[in-house]
Amino acid sequence: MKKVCWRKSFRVVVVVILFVFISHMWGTVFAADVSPAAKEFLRKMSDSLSQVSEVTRPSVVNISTTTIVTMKESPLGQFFSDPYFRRFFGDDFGHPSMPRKFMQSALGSGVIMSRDGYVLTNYHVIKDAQEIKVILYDKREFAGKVIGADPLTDIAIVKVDAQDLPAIRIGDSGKLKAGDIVLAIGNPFGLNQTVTMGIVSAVGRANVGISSFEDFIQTDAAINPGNSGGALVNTNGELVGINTAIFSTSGGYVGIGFAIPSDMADAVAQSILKYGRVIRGWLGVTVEDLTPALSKSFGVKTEKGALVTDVVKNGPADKAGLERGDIIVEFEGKPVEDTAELRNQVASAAPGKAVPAKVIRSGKEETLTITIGEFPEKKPLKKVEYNNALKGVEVEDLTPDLRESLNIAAGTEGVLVVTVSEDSPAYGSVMKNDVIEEVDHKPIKGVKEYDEIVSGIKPSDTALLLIYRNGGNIFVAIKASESTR
Amino acid sequence: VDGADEIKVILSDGRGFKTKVVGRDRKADLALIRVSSALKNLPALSLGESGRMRVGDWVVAIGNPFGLEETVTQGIISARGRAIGPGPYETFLQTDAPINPGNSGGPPINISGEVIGINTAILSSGQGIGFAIPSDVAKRIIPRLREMGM
Repeated sequence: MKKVCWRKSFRVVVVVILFVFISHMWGTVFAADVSPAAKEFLRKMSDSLSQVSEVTRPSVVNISTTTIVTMKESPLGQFFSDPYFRRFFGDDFGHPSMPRKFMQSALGSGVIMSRDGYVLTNYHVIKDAQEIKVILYDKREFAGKVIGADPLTDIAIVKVDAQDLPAIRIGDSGKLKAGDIVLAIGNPFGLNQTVTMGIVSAVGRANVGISSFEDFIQTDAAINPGNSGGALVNTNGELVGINTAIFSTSGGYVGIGFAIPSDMADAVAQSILKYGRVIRGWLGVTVEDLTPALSKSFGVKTEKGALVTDVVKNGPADKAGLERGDIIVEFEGKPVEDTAELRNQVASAAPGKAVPAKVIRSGKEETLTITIGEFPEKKPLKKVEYNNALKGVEVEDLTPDLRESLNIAAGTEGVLVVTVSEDSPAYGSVMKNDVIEEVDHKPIKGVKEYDEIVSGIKPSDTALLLIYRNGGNIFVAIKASESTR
Repeated sequence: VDGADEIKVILSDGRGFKTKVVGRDRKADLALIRVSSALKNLPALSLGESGRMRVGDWVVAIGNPFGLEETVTQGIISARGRAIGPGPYETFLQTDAPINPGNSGGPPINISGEVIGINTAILSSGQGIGFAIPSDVAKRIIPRLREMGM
């Protein structure tokens, strides 16, 4: 208190500087020295951190993407809709009601996983990108091509046409423990090759709500927007995680970051490289976490395990005799903590493999053998820009699930409309959830055929569609618009 | 200290002194102030060689964030030679040691206890991103500030 009053009485504007450092030319006494032992320890620590940075930094790249977004108004809208501006330049200039396309750019990071140019990153970094630019540590720039992506884990692989790149060594993320020192390397706010240090705050973090399969490493190393897709490395200089998300109330770092463990990221990447997609195990059950109340009513002592609430008919679990009300407590010999863990365990099991599962049924333990099925992957939407009457129409294959949930009559075949962009000639004529059964009298069975037929339509041609909508069929003719001619 | 009517320095032992600005370089965001020529035996820190700092090197930052005196935070050198904004001296050290308003002018210190920079800016939209003027730049400017005041 004394100090505060004193300050006020002097009307001090700037108060500071505790440590005066004056050039040694002034002949002052230096501050007390650090003990040799402490110096030695700190030097080793500092040396080690800098070595780890040195060996890992070249493997981290900067990814910049360009996405075209359609907006009704110009991002410069206020300027272009200014009455003065309109008086001088006319109404045609950036008319606010016209849907227009704009370029949007974003920044992220990536990790070089092979010498021949495969780069690991987050799916959300490259999602919808029209153009991907990869900038290496030595400032060389390459165009990046998406080889494959897995939205369910938020992993993607981008390829650049280069050789002899410094690939990162991949570590064993399963060995990480809370308290381990880690470095995050990436491109926060475009500040490329930024290295930050922290510790592992927790492992096996699930139910964060970022992706479908979660098993995050939580870290307090500073991670900010732009770090996504970058590396989390251990003290051996090995990749242990792909920095993916932060928990934040302000948009910036608050000491809570999440990284996809390298074990999961690598398994997903290897599957994409080998099969072009991620092959996951599937049980065909719906499960929920146990609560103290549920445990009590099911007569079990712990809350560990996954309670089966539904079994898909003729699915792998059904065939093995699993029933609603069973509590799965062990899978493939490993205890099941909760539903998130079971999901990850099942996903990483190879389809076709017979796996033992221990369940508690009516208070008694039983072991069943389940032959793992394959997770019915929802195929990623094919984004093809046709320059004709069907420009801006996005479709997907009609799966039994979709058929059931949208109540589409049996026997109806075609492709399901997902979106119709506002600048599409079909906007207003074709709707979301329409089933396109025929294009120009040619029957459509799936996206592949749709693509073959639609890509053959000339820019100025009118397209005739047979559409299934609300339980009935209707012919719709789509005239090509000015923009496609 | 720019625009200040009065500058007071409070030492770590609690003594406060009025000071005089010896020299200032607005472009480099550096100022040299002198407490009093009568004061001797102040615990001065030596200026280290910022050019020898490597990415990953451990540092501590000491300052008065939000008026919290003698706050010591730790971090590493995140990058070197970082350019931020306009200005003639564009070779900042970047660190992840938490730096907050009030840390300006406080030093990042290497493990030998030498000052290797003068904290000067932070990226306010994110945390863990701070910038410091390297001590090598300060060393070049200090004699000029002493002798010519600019």
